[in-house]
Amino acid sequence: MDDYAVLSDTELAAVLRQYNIPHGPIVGSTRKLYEKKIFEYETQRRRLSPPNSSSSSFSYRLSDLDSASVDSDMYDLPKKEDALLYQSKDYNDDYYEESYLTTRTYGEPESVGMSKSFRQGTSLGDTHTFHHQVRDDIFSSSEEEGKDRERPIYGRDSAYQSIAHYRPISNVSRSSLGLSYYPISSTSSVSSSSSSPSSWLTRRAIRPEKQVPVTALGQDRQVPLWGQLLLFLVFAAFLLFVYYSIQAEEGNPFWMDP
Amino acid sequence: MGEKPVGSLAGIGEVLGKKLEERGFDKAYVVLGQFLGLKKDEDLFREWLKDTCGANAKQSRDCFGCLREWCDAFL
Repeated sequence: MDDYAVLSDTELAAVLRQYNIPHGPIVGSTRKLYEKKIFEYETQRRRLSPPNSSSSSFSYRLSDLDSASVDSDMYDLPKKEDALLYQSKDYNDDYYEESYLTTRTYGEPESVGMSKSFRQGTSLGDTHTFHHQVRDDIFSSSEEEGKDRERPIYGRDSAYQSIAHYRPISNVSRSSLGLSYYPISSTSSVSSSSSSPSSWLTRRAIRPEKQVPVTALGQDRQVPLWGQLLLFLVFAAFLLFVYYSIQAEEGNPFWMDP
Repeated sequence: MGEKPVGSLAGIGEVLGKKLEERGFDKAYVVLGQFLGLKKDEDLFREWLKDTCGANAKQSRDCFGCLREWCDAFL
């Protein structure tokens, strides 16, 4: 990093322009920042140059950065194992932002909350767990999205709250969800209009809490679950009472003693 | 903005304010100057703030938002 200290301000500016790094005037207070930016850029470039590095997808992302173009094919989401088919191309802009976990030098997403929730999502569940969550999505699709967010019964509170920070806007996950698991047309309504791919992805992130939403699903009913159990017990007690009262007693069945 | 101290910016509390003052950014307008010098770019400014005083994501976001809104209103 000290190599850049010998460059004059104008030379430094030229290097920044060459690398396409957005910058302002190089003043005393900003010089160190730009030197650091150039240093990070060069380090990333150096990581790119050995093409057989283990993280090839990482280098793909970097190459996309370098060319300043977003190619949707390069960006697998961290959920490669799911083998979902992302057939529409317009998600690339959103996922470009969302996959910025590894490379944070440029184009950091609007809110850091997004990257946070994605950090949760990097460990991928298997298709089965995703299936559960998709089913949850179907159940919740009928609700207003706002209500969804507020419902305390869903164990995914934290995931939903992080969604509230950002609203990415593409409809792609809708189609991708439909393609993968529910090849019926009604699945387009699975993720409601403002359910976004990232909210879908954050739902996947809550794998450990998956049990809670499944059991908490009962809150969809009019009567709460504990109320239903209580009613069931009351009914069972009533039936037992009737049963035992019907049974003939050991004593004399006749009213009158002979 | 006048001569308000740097701690009057959103996201800048006591600790961060002291660190900024040590670096010479003792008034809010000096940080504003830095913000403008970085061309009001969010990434640059937030990174600069993080490097200079160790602001976390929320603090830098708040400070950036505060300065941006001020500029939108008065500049």
